[in-house]
Amino acid sequence: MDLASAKAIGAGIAVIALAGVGVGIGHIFAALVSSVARNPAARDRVFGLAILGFALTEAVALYALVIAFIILFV
Amino acid sequence: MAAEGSSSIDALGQFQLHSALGPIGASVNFSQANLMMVVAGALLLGLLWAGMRPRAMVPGRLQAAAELCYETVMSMCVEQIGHEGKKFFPIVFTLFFFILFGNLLGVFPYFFTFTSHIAVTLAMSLFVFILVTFVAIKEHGLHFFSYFVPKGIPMVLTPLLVLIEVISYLSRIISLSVRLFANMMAGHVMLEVFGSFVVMLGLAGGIFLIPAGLSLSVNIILIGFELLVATLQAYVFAILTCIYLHDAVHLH
Amino acid sequence: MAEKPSGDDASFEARLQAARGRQGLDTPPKRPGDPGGDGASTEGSALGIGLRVGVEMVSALVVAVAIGYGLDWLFGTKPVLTAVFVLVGGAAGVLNVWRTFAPKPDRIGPDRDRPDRDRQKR
Repeated sequence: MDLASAKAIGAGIAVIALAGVGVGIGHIFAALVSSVARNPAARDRVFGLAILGFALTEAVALYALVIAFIILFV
Repeated sequence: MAAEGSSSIDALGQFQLHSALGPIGASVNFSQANLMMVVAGALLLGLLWAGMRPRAMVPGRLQAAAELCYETVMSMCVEQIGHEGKKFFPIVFTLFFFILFGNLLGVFPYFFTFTSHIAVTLAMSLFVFILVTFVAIKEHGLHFFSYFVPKGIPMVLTPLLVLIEVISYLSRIISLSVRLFANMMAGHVMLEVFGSFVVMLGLAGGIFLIPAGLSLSVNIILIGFELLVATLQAYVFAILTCIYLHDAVHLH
Repeated sequence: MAEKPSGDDASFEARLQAARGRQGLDTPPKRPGDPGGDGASTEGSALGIGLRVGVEMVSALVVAVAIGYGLDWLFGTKPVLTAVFVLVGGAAGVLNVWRTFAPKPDRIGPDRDRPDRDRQKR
């Protein structure tokens, strides 16, 4: 197996992490929807926290992406 | 678009620059982007001059429009930056209307959107960044660097947090430019792609005319959406400039 | 002329408030949340908010990776500094998003709606 194909396989394996990220983001917004449905007045406060949680989870996805790029190109 | 049916859609070819204005333009590399910048600037100047010429106490339509332009940007400056906002009115006005006219002129057929090039938006964003940093340093001197030290955290974490704050500050350049560039480029790529669908499906004829009609209606809706996004992105650029200036003048 | 004192008071308060507002002496002007793709951050469309969050996070990461890569190239320590700066850039991106979308705390200071509250303190 030469280096280029090993790099490609490595990058492909690195982005399997995005599965966990997808589950996490879905969980956050499911919690957001059910909490706003219970108490619509709290919408603005809860929304800020939901976006923070989304950003943190998305950061993990971006780490996985950067590692995939590092494997491919560095 | 060849009649034999090109198998791929050339979505990005529209952004390539050629020289405009014949041989004179070719000698100085005057491209369609430059031409549209000159048109946008001249149109803005012309409208403002024609609008303010009557100087009537009860404004006619054009004068009312020019006064509305002034009032929008002035209220944006004073509301965001506060009392000292009046100093920054010319630059915010110029940025807002230059980007607005550039975005809107691009919607017309055969006109080029000069804000769909990262070079142009990055230049404007760098200009805003350098302006904001310069204003902050001029206003607060070396105390400016206390902006990067957040208060109320344990001493141990300070170096890491300062590094994070500095990176967050520097990322404004990229976020300001990429937001405008990505919105404009994406809009025009969508128009090109759906337009290609219309032509390709229309040429196939027969039953394919129905999806061709659907693509055409999507294109019509996209043009409306383009107008909204054009105005909105100009507004977001201007208001973020005002917010950064507020940070520069006050919260250091 | 019997109602003139109270009328005078109310108009004086109104004029004082207007003058203070013109001089910018009262609470700093309220800032609407940074507009997302579609206006106020909590009322924007989902696409607008998503685009805004994405751009802020990616731009912080891009700047951090650029700095990390540059420092690596300068000092010859190939992937180490880049990896460190990726983590820092991710944190900076989350900080950017937090600053845009965090729930705003209530402001302390004289209320605009109750102009006599400031005077009562003295």
